[in-house]
Amino acid sequence: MIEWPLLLGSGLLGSAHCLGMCGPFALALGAAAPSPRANLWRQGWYSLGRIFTYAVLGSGAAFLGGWLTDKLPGWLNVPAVLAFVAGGFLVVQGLLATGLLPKRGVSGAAVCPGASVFKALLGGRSTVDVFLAGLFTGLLPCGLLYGMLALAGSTGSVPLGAATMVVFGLGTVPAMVAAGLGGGLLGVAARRRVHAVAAWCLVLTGVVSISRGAGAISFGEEPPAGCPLCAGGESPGAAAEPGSDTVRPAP
Amino acid sequence: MPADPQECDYCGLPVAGSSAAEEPLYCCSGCRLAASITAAGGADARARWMMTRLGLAVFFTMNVMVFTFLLWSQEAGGAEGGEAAAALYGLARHAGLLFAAPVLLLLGGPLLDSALAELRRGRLSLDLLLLAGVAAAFGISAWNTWRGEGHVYFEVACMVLVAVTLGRWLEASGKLETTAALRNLESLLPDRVRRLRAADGADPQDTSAEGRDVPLDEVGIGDVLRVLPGEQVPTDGVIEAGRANVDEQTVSGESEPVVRGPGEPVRSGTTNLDGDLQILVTAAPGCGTLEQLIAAVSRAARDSRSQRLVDRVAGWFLPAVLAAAAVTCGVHWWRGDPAAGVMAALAVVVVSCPCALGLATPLALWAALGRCMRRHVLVREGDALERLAAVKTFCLDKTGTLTSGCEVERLVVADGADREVALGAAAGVASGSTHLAAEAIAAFARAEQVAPLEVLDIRTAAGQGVEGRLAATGEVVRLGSGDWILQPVETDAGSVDQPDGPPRCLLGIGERAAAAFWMAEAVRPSAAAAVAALRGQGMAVTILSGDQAPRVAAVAESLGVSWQAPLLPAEKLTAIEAEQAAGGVAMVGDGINDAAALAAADVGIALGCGADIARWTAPLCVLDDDLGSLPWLVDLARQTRRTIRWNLLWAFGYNTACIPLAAAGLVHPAVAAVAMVVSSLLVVGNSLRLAREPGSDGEPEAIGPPGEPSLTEQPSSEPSRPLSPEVVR
Repeated sequence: MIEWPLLLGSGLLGSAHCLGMCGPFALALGAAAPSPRANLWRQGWYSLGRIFTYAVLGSGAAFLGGWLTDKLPGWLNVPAVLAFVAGGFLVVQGLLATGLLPKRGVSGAAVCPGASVFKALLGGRSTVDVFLAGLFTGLLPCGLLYGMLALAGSTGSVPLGAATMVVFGLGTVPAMVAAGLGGGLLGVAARRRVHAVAAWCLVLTGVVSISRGAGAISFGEEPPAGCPLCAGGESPGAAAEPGSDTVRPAP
Repeated sequence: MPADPQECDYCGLPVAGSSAAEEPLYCCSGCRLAASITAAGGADARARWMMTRLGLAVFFTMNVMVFTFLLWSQEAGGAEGGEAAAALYGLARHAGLLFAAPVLLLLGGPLLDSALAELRRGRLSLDLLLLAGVAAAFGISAWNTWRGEGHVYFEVACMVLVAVTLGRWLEASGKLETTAALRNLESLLPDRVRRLRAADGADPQDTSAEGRDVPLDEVGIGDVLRVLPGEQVPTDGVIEAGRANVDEQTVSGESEPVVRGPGEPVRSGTTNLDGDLQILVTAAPGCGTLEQLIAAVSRAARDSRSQRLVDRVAGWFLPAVLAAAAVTCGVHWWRGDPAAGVMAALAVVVVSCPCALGLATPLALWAALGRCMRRHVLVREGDALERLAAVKTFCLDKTGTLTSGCEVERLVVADGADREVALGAAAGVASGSTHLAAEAIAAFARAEQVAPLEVLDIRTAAGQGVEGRLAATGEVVRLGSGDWILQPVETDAGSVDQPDGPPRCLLGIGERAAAAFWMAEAVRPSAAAAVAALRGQGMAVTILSGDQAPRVAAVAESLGVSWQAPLLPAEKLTAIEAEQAAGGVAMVGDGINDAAALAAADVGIALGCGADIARWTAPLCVLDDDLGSLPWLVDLARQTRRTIRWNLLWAFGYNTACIPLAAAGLVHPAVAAVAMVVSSLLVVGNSLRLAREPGSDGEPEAIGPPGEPSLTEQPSSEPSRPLSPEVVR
């Protein structure tokens, strides 16, 4: 039904792009580990914490999506709208990563009084601390995450929403663990290439989501077909879809 | 309210209540919690446990939320499904109970402690109401789970506990950050000092050279302390023995270290850079310069019009909330839904949690005070910034405010003397002195592109000038006051109009006078930019001076502002009152000479207070004499007023809008809990933005170089201040 490989792929490729934000956390996590083995253990629990939070958020989003589908008038195809939102988020994130959209610089230090505790958790010795650090990491603002949550919302089912986010979260594990273990396994040039590929993959994922949403709408008077990702079949040509004109080959 | 407000042991904000002497006092349960989380040293393990506790509670709450979503979606989906769905439904309810119970245990404890502490002091508290609501929500849900019918509200109990704890902890952290500047000052004083001799002879064994290690509190007037290089001077005193460079930036804003030797005063909070000092204590415990400075700023933070308004409101806020909650509960109960009544009452209490209201003013004010302190501006009255935001006119004194130091206005060379040689010799001998006049002459020579001649054996004659020997000819060169140079100057100066009286400074080469220098006041380099910035802020700027009209006119013209001179002190008052017809007036002047004018204006801003605490009569005091601080202050004052107004508007608006909704049962308590955290975060974040400098390190709004020389000339009608011993007259 749901295209799990696509979700997993989004996580896999998206996480390469997200390492900028979460990579340092993984590194800090590794710094407190006495051995590579212990580090792997910590990285695992950290990712588990993240995925747990993603799952909770996913279940909430799915409940909200289902609730909206029930409450809003039938002509408004909530899953399709959510698929649009999800696609939009992903496309914007991807374009930001490619550098085609100018990134707005954030000035000044973040106003977050919780930072000190977060730091302490990251450096904590116990597994519980590491798990909690992962749990809170999952709450950090992230465009990719919002896109995925919108997708989870479009499933309209609490277990499916949670599962969507778990699969996505699993996809982010390899990059995060690699970052936490190796740090500098890849050279700068290689990292830049991976980054560029990941960015365009994000854009692609977003476009697919948008086209699925549009496909769901094209069913016309029929009741919403649930998740647009489950709609299956041919996806209409990307070039014909709204929003897809933002996709251009890299100059 | 008690007469003497105490301070929170965590964030340092004033606390309205009072506690038993020994136990720590906190302004809110957030600070109590935050103190336990961040407690340093031996309590580390406990602190970590508290932090882990909060994290685990969040984890369990998230689990509860997942099962709640499941329940909700099943309820929304109606009766479809069948037995499997029904089994899942029952399972989700039991899972909710399973995961909610630990949250209650983990976070209910601290809340209960704080509620009981208030209760022991004979006061009801919101914590008690919250706790009662949470317990009711959990109790009803557990009962309904057990009997297998009715609503469950586990998510309410969990969310309220987590949100209340998290919100308060965030607030406490915010408070801690805004009061950081003041705590940094306090940390400049050591806890323990080395006492060589006690005034009352209480410590007979104190005669050793090392001294005895005693707490600072025990040091009294007449004790002798030893302060080693790199240490902070712990209290005000007079140097008995030793000599050192002392960094007085903390208390005077002066960035250059000053040399202090026997008989000279030192102030608490300054740093002994390089000497071994023995200091005779002259200040009672807690009365040193730095302590007074801290006390003045703390007083300012407590005393603010907006805060008094909030205090008045807070007086009837809790009873009103209590009544609203009781009525809400009663009405729903009467209509036959006790559980809904409890939920609505809980929502009322959660929504009205007055955290944001209580924080709105003090956080913003403390943030602004902290920034002032970092820029060496002291605020004595909390309202001063709010009043400054409304000022329309800036009146500035001239001498010592807009001008400082001096520059060479005119050089007349004696008949037969070579101008270049005379100026070169003057510049050469002037290089051996740091006096303002000597520096002005050296600068003048540089401007004329005359290289200083080499002068040997330069020596300062106290109060008279400097002298040395020309390397080329061996002749004695003297630069200084007229009496000191042997012969009267023989020039054609008699024929020149001399509006400024006799020359300030003569140059003698060999046995005869060679040149005469006339000095003029130098307008501070930062003055033009500061005045321009003030006008850019929409201020009318005018000079009120007691000096001669032509001199004032010259300065005013160079700055492009209006002026009134010469004015007697009483006439300055009249002038200020006249300006007040158009709106608020800020008067900037010398703390002593302009004291009356500073007091008469809406906001008095004193310059040149230096390290002398007794001279801080003005509500605002610019310690380092940087005129660029004036437009900066206006900006900060306007920002502060905006922030306070926004905070108050938000807090009042949020409460008045949400309480009726909650009472009507339209706000789910879990949503109310989230809203409460968001509301607190908005207020804290808004205030913290004020605490941060715009830009990262530098201050883009800073105008002109900081650290003007604070030693100023007083040549005109105003009483002269003592100059350094090597003065050149």
